[in-house]
Amino acid sequence: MANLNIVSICGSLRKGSFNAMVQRMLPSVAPDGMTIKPAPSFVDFPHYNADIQNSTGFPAPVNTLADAIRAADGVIFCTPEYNFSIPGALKNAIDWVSRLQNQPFVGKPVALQSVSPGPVGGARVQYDLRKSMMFLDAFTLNKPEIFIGNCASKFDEKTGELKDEATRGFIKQQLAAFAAFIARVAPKS
Amino acid sequence: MSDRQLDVLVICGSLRKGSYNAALARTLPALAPGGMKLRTAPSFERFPLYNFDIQDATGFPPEVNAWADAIRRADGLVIVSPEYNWSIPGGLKNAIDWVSRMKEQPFKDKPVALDRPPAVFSAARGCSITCASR
Repeated sequence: MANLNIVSICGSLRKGSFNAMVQRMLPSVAPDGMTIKPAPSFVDFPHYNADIQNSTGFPAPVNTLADAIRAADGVIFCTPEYNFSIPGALKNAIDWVSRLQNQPFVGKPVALQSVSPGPVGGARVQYDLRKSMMFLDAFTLNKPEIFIGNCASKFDEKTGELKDEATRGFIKQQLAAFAAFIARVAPKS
Repeated sequence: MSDRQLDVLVICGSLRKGSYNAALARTLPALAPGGMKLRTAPSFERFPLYNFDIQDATGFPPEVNAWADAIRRADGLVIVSPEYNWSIPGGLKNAIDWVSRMKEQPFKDKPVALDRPPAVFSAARGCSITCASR
């Protein structure tokens, strides 16, 4: 299998984020040949405003994230659900890069993961994210889906490690499926 | 309608000066029924991106409190918003995310109407998402 360079984007900005914990463990369950690195942060993005874009152009951190997405063979989102939907900060990042020429999500394989303390595990944020990705002409992996609900019991509080073996197994399966999906929808020449 | 004056807050989802949504928001007072007063919500432009660590360390930023107080005081809200990428503009969603974390959550039991420029048909999806997020 070709070497695959994947970037992961965490939807939460807090240091102790469960989603960031999942993001950090992804390399340990990635299939051979798949490298997964965190994407540059969107923490310094202003709120999207076309007046900024028109007067001073795209802010540097927006271009940095967009370049990382363009250079990657695929993108994995690890995100919490806020108010039944996408965290505003993550949506703002997507809104910014969506306005670029050579829009970075076009034809890009995308996989979704969500972690939440509740039982639903972020199902609703994934469908909203899937919808925005559809509009942006990304190729979003359908299955397996990763919803990590009731997360507090699945992580080691001190180390931040995902200790639930079944969940680790599900993620491993999704990453293997993602590699096969990329080979199908965006094969490397 | 009772004799009581209704105080309605208008929230615009776009930050750009020439926004059609902002233009629509400015038109609303002229179309309001007698006894309904419409005023513009404070801007969410300076809200930081939501991060629980900020909330935990220094509390809610003053801009967030001002926005929440304006919502709490109002008898109802009109949200006028563009649609970005088939959903809510990130800036507006970020504002909603901030105030949703407050005790005495300001949207609770608040009557909300969703409005959009009539020519922008596709904004319907943004509206339905805003509605679902209430």
